[in-house]
Amino acid sequence: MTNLSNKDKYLVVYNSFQALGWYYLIISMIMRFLFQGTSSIFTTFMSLGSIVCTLQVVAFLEILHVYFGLVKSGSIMPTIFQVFGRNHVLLWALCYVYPAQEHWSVFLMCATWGVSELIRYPYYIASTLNECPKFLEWLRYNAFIVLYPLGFAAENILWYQMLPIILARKIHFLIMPNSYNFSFNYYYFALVWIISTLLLFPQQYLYMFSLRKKKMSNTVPKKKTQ
Amino acid sequence: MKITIVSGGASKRTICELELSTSTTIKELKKSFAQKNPKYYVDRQRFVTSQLGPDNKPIVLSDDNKTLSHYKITSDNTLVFKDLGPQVSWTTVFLTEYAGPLLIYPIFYFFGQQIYGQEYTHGYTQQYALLCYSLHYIKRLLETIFVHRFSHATMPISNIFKNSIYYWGNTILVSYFVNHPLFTSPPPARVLIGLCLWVVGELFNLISHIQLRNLRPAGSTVRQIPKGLLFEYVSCPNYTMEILAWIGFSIMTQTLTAYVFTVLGAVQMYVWAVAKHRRYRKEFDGKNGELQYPRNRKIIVPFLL
Repeated sequence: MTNLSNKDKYLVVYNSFQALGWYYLIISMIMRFLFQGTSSIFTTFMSLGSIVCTLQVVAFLEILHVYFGLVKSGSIMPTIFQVFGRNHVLLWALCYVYPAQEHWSVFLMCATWGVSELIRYPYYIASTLNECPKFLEWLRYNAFIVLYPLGFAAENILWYQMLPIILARKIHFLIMPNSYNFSFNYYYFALVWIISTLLLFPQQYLYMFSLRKKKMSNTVPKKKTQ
Repeated sequence: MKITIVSGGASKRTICELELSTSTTIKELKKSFAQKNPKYYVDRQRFVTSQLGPDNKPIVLSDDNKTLSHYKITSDNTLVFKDLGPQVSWTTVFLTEYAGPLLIYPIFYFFGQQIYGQEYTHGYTQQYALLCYSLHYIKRLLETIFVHRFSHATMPISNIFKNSIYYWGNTILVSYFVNHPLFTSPPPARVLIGLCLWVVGELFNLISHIQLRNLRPAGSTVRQIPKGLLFEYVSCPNYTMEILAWIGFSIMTQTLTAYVFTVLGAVQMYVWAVAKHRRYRKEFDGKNGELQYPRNRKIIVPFLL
């Protein structure tokens, strides 16, 4: 740690916080499953929701990391999509749509997020320290092939559960007359949101494949020269 | 002397060679380039030097009336050509983007019954709002035709789409809520205050535009230091007053979308004002017999900003 720059020290601390948080989440989910059986699946959000929400809110920092150049990234957009996407489904929707909190897709969503973050954050730490084990790098650039569509599917199954409830209970609706002279229909907003993420999914998925390809082509010639 | 024109980017492909003299103006250079390459008419062209200037950037041959020697091109040389893309005149862009609001806003007023699906009568606030919104854009259209003298003839064609989407979308979002049957009017005193601010804003905006016009003789692109009235306090009183008019409209109608577009417009006008203020200061730097731009003149808010 001594020969690390302050920037790198900060990144190691931040990524360790996230890694430990997600580690705690996954262990809790496993323990709960082992002791309480399948019934634990439906109470995931009730008992662990606050942890997932906290970790995701803190993840807003990652947009700043890219913006201020702490982290080298080709584009800020994928980070923005991920952070806003997850926080939207968690904080703005799921926290208010109580009946959907007990759906099994919440368990699946948290599990896929947890596993992918347990690969991503340790990988960031290891690369900052310049000591990245081969298996971790392999996981970082291959696990997403399964995890990303799985997490995306879980999110959309959850949205599908939430949409009718949002409409029936008029959640986050602003109805005229009011002194802002404005009306807002969250049901339609959520619909537009879901369709946009569906349209953006292939692009995001392919973007990660392009990172993978870049990484693979970077490592191959290195081996040859060594 | 022989000037070789190459394309930009990594390729640096030779496009053509021109036989010019040191006293050739940039405008003449563009004309002779357009003769050999009719696709790239004069307004579409931009040239930069191939050698880097003092700040390690290529020098842009931006002033059409200056000669090649002004840009220190005095012997056989290479210039880099940049295609600005298809161009459209400022007047066309302005007329298109302003005609939209003028046509769209009243639709929500006059066809409210069909749009909102219920019968209702408009309050006086909604009537004033229709009048203010329409008058603003009638004024903008008339100014474009009779008052403005643009220093650049054209802009890229994509601007016409970008600007129109902004203005038209803005109008739909404001008009939909202001003309809504469930519209809540602020108390009469606030409507009156808003209306007064709007009148003052529009009036002084018009005066500033006329002052700017009188600075520039017809058919020229001459630049002078504007003076008189509000120009003594800020570089861009036309923007200050347009923002004031929209603040007035927003207070009068108490509508969230109107406030949002007031803020967006103010930010955009502030950016333009900063650029213009900088240009004024750079152009009138008091050196080489040039005039000195007034040091105490602010950008957009008198005495403050």
